[in-house]
Amino acid sequence: MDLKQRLRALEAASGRRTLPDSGTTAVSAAHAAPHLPAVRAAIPAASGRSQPAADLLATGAERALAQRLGAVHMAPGLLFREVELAAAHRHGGQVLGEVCSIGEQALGVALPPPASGWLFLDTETTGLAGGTGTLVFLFGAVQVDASGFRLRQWLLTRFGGEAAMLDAIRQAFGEVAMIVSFNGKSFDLPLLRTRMRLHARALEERHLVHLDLLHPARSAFGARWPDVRLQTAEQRLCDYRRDDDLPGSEAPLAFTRWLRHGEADGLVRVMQHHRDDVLSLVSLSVALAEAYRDPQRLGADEGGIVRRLNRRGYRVREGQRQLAFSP
Amino acid sequence: MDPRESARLTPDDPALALADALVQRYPDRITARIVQPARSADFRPLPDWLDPALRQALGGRGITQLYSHQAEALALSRAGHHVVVVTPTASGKSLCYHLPVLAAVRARGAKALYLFPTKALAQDQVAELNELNREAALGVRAFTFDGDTPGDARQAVRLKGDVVVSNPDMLHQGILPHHTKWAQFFENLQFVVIDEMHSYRGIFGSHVANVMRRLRRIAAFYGSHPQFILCSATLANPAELAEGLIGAPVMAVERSGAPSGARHLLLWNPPVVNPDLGIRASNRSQTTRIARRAIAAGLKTIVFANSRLMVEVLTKYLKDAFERDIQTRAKVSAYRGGYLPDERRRTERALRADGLDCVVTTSALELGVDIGSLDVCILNGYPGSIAATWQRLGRAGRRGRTALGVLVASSDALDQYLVRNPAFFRDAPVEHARIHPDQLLILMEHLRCAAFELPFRQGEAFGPGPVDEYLAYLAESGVLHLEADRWHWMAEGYPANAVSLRSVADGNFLVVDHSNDRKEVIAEVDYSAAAMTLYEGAIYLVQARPYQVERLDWTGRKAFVRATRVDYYTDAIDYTRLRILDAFDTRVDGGSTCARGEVHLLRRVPGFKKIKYYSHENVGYGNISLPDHEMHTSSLWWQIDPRVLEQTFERRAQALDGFLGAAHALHLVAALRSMAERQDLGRAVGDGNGEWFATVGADSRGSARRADGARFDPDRSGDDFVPTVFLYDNFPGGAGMSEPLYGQAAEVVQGAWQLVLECPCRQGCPACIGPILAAEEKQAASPKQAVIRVLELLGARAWT
Ligand SMILES: [Zn+2]
Repeated sequence: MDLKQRLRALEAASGRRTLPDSGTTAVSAAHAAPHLPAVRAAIPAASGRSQPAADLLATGAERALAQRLGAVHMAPGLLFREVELAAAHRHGGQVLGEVCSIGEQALGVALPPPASGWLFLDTETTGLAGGTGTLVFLFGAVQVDASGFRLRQWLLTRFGGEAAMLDAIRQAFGEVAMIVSFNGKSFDLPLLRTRMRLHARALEERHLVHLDLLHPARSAFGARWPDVRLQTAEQRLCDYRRDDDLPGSEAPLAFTRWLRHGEADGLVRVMQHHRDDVLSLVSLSVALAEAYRDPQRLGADEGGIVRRLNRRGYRVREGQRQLAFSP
Repeated sequence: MDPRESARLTPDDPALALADALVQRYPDRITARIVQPARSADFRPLPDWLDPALRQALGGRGITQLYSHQAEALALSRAGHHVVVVTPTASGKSLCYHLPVLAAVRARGAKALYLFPTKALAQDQVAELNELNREAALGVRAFTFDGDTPGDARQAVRLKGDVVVSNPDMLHQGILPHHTKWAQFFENLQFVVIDEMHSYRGIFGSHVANVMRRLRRIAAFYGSHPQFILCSATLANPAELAEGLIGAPVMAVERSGAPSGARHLLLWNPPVVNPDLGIRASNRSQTTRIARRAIAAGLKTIVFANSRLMVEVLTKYLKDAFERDIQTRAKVSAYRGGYLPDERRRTERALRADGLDCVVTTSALELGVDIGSLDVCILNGYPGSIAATWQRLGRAGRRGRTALGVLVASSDALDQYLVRNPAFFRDAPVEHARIHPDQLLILMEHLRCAAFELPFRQGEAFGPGPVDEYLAYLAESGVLHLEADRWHWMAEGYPANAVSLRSVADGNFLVVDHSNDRKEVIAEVDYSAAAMTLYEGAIYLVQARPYQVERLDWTGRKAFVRATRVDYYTDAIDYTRLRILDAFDTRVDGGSTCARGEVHLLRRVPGFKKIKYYSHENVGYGNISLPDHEMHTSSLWWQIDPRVLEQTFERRAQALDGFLGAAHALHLVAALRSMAERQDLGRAVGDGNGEWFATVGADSRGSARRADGARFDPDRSGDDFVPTVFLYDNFPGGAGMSEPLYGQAAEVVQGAWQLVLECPCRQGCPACIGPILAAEEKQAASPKQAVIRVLELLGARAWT
């Protein structure tokens, strides 16, 4: 009896539920790839860069994926897509440019000026459990600085691309004074630190302000909404609705199918979903700041907001139509 | 020295006086008196390299020199060896690791990980380290890290702890899968301390050995190669166990230099109250009687019972006895798991401050926990291993006075065997603690965990050699992905959470109480035991409280039970057939063969018996319809040449009785030597081809059946009658228990023979050959004689 048969027999005898066999994994063909005309159009001929040498080492499937996404091979196993966005770009009820005027003390955090660089970031991972076996296979961010708005995404097509991705993230962190996330303090950042440590790198973040939108959102709406997830917030505050969105929980499967079967459709949809996530971070910052100024208009919990601001050392003056707070 | 003589020399030794009085009054109950003479200390100077602050800390606690075993352990560890120290209770073993660790922390910022099997022991050690710390402001920070550590304190432990005190389960699920958060700790990890090493044996030990492989692998990733210091109770094979656990050569320190007062151990067998049936008085009444005498003599006493229920019963008996007695007003208290921490602390303080005369406890007080000095220790029943027996007895003992221990045997066969064989307590240890880290299922579980923690390189070793073949299997199951030369984890989830170190695989059954419409999980049952204990209609006991299984959800792994008040218990009928697949080693000795190898096991549980309490009468049957359970496992077996059997026995049915009884006795002795729980080492009698198997029926008669369940009459079968006794690992794939017994087979047979021969019963009784009656009423020879003959054919010899 070979090892495989032996293990299957032992696992059956011990009551262990065996994982599905590789050959029998159901493949869902229901999801067609979305079209990305807006994005395609926004790429000025691959950002005017010369095609990197990494492309020469790519497999046919990787090259096809890069083309579908409008991305380039930054390193073997790492795709990079960059889109310049206009300040007037509308995402839901907000336009991106509004984020530059949310105020220095918005949401009870002292914000560095936008020109010093803000990074609205998000990750897609192979799982939510955390721990060293969870991989960040997609990192993306809207970067705001003096030169405008750029949406950048780094996607792994192989494990081997990770070191290059981490270096790109380190560089992006080095270019800004603030990062903005949704639940990044407990999820994305610890995970990035873990990945960096596994690759003998360190994430330099001491110079950064970290605005984690989950916490101000929870203070303002925790008592009002059934849950405070990003998609709930973007629907209720930004009036943004996604159509044909890939649920975030299916992202790990999409990456797995790409690795095992070379299926690209799922990854294309993950990229789209993830792009919406980071854009929503910008719109949400604008909307939340507005809710903090004028809780009643947006149905926010004024008591929760005041408590948060007090906790963070702000004196809040009430009695006017809008909240005004100063450190 | 004759114990009597020492009594005369030290007339002011009340425990010795009590021992003498008991021996005089109950000579027929005391099967042996074992005397360990007082031993003076063997001191060594503190080593030169110990820095002044450490000397000061030791001095503050009255320590100016070391015991020889401490000095030896320090020297070996200093020389870079992994060390295991085997020492009795209260011999200052913790200094064997505290000193090297504290010195390294102070000299070079080393970090150390301490592992204890329980949280309570971990807390004690942190308290002890902190005391040392305070004596000389050593500046060493020791913290516990376990399931009780609050979330906001964890970060501080990871970053600031010099000594982190945890348990293997936490290391497995909480630390290793998050090793990057511990990067600083692992970079400086120079010592790993494993105390109570003897508790890591069998399945648990095999898991822990794999956790150590993972630990060493992660440490190596951060450039560390920590040294191990292990401590153990007395075993026959401490160095072997230590090497198996850590996967590297280990030096053993086995001679204690600590002083000890004289210790007298009485082996006590309750008197026979029904000579015909061989029934003895309960050990409970005997224990109470001895405890009352000890307390009345003003001796501080600890009583160990093997169940929480028995703790309560004994406490009540003793309280009743003393509360009526206004003159003594002795204070008795119970102490066990399940009590609130405050209550336990109160009892501990009362014991230390001499505010209590007697404490009745379970294993909760076996180790650690400072309770001051006691005079008398009474064990109500054998605790399951000789190592644990000595650890419990070690709770009694004061400077310059005799400590008295009494082991009161229950009617259990193993208890009866032990009290008749004082050599187990007098001579060199016979208990071999076994582990089998390469047990396939266990290994696979930990390969998953290890791959999650860090990708495997192709050709990388885990344990003895490369594991690519296993990793390829995991890749095929979609768990790993091979890219370039690395096996990457690619599944969702967190594999450590699916692996419990205390069982062989997942698939455990939950026992759910749905009395009163609430659903509460009251127990967890291993998959392999579920069919035998959780069938519909079964009476399942939790702390002696009966519950009836109403519904078994086999696929959902749940049994729904309801509290009941029936006066019977249930016993599953077990049709287990074994087929020999492959003999790895065979030894032929005269007309008998002993072999070890791989077997196929098929267990069918066709029904169950209802048996009335006390009268043991059979009051009904029930059917069970469960899938057959099949597995491959390792086994040891004995066979006898059919021609020799024909010459020895008039009828084959008699030979079969002999085999069934021999299996019972062999099983007991083998379990004792391999420190296995008896249910983890299975026994069976059959023909070796799975054609027929033999069991002892509800009527206590031996009988054989064919595979289809039909009766098999050995005297009417052909020439192919080759009865076989199997002792097998009751786990899929084997668990490394039966295989090493092959090397001790002669001792096991000899021990079984002695057990049966020396039992005072005439025809054979449950304590020696199991509940078996002669196949025929008017049989010339008793089953006991048949068993003795079988064992002699297997090689047992009268002592010469
Ligand atoms: Zn007997």
